[in-house]
Amino acid sequence: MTDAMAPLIEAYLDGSIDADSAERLATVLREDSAQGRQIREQIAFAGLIGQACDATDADAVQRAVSERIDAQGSASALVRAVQQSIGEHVVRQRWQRRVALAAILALLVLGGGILMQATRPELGRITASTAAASVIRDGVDRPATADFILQPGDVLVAPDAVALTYRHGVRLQVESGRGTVVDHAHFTLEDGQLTAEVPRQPEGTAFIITTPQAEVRVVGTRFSVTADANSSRIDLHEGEVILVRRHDGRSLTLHAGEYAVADATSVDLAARSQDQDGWQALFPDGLTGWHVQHGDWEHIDGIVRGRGTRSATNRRGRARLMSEAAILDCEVVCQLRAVEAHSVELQVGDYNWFFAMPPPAAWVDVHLRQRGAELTCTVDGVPLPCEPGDGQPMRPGPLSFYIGAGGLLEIRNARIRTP
Amino acid sequence: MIPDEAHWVRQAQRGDREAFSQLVRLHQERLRGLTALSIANRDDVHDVVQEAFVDAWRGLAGFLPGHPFGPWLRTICRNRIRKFFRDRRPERRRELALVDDALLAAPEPTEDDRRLPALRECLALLSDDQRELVVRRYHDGEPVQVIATTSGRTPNATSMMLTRIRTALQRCVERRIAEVQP
Repeated sequence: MTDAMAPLIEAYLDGSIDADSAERLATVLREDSAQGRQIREQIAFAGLIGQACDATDADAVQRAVSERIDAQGSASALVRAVQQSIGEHVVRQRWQRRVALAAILALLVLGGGILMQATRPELGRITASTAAASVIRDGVDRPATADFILQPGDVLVAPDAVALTYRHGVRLQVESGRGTVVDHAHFTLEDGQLTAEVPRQPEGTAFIITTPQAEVRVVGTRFSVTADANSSRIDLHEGEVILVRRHDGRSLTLHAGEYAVADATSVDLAARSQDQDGWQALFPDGLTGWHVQHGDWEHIDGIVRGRGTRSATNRRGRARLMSEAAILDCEVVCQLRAVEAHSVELQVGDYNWFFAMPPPAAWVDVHLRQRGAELTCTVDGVPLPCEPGDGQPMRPGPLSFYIGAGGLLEIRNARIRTP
Repeated sequence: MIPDEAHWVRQAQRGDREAFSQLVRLHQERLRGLTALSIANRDDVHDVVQEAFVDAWRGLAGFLPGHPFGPWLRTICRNRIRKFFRDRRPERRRELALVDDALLAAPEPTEDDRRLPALRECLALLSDDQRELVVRRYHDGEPVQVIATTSGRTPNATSMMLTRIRTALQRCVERRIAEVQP
């Protein structure tokens, strides 16, 4: 880093930098150069020094956080909301266990089998378990503790829920039953129930779940499989899978919110809407029921796409899609992805309040929940700060998707439920 | 996840404030270090970190048990950092906003939670004058002009001294971290 940059860094930290110096500093930072990285590191290190000199201890931070929670006057309401949310989660799990077990899922039999390697590489690990769970390895029963590193051939025995994480972010929750870790991209469920979250897999690869009757090949989705000796059922929560029934080769495409029920003797193999607990598609008829305020929007192959186009009347190149219906007290789930975007927002109540998120380059799961004055939004489970549009008390109004500055926003697997 | 941490997370999800307080104590230093990589003013760092913990408390229902709590928490903190820059932008002079934007767009320096403890040790090795300069500048937030005036130096000379001290501290931190690596 040149000596000439040192005063510029200090002037920026002081807040006293002039226009020319700011332009120079910003230009260097924007370059992908060694000097730009050095300057970024210098500014970051200045912040670290400030913290290293700061004697504030952990107790003081904890007290300050508690005061903020109390001061927002919502501590008891938050507790109720958290408890209510946990209760709803438990209800959904119970519903899954009551699901009829009369289906055979499609099988795609992988040719070739799996080569056992002389060295047995780590392909995943158990992330949560119970005392009753065990792993049978080489005929020896071992406790299935958290952080247990899995190897090909391990047999998981799970009287209660056990969570596994594989490479490439695949997460399995074996609710009960028995299964085998085949390799880094393959798990066999011999009996019981599991839920899988499979993020987008590397090009040309898929994660395989095998049951006694079926095999599901997934490249990126979240679904539940329930299997026993006679039948299986798959409920697809997110993404898309193609199922092929083994005994006759008949195939079916399942979309998010659908399930397939079949068994070895049934002729019928059909996708049915889950539509459980009041969920409905957010775009059941394409863009009918939605108003395009800015930009160009289309609905093709189940994906809604919006692009901001700069014009005389849309100088900022925004795109906003607003529901024609005024919505209050709702829950919305969807997946979003953005390209070349500066900002992405989910707005409620006609810009009453909104959530801004970093433009997601890859598909992210969004969950918006509004009940009375309580409004939350998470992206891949991480809460976003709620920001005031006009800051007025919550009122019915359109739900809007917004992208700024000429970017492209894609929406899929969008569902809504209202009380 | 640390074995106790999983218990605290579960308890916090049930509304146990004391359990959440344990999580705050456990993660506060790392969040402060992360935030300081983008925000130099220490009061702002505290503000952002505390708001991030409040967001985490509110969003606990969305946290999946069994997953690492730290990365989830740090993602929340990054959201708060971005909001901090967005919120202050309207009041920011254009010149400062220009550099803010360039900083946010630049790749974030690697987060390393070994740096803060090592940095504290290295600060103790500075001379008294150097340490006083660093504390006045980066902890107390005194402008370079004020430090220069009271120390009888020019602002440029003061800036250069601070740069040299920072560079020396960075090298010290790297050595300390390398020494403890297996």
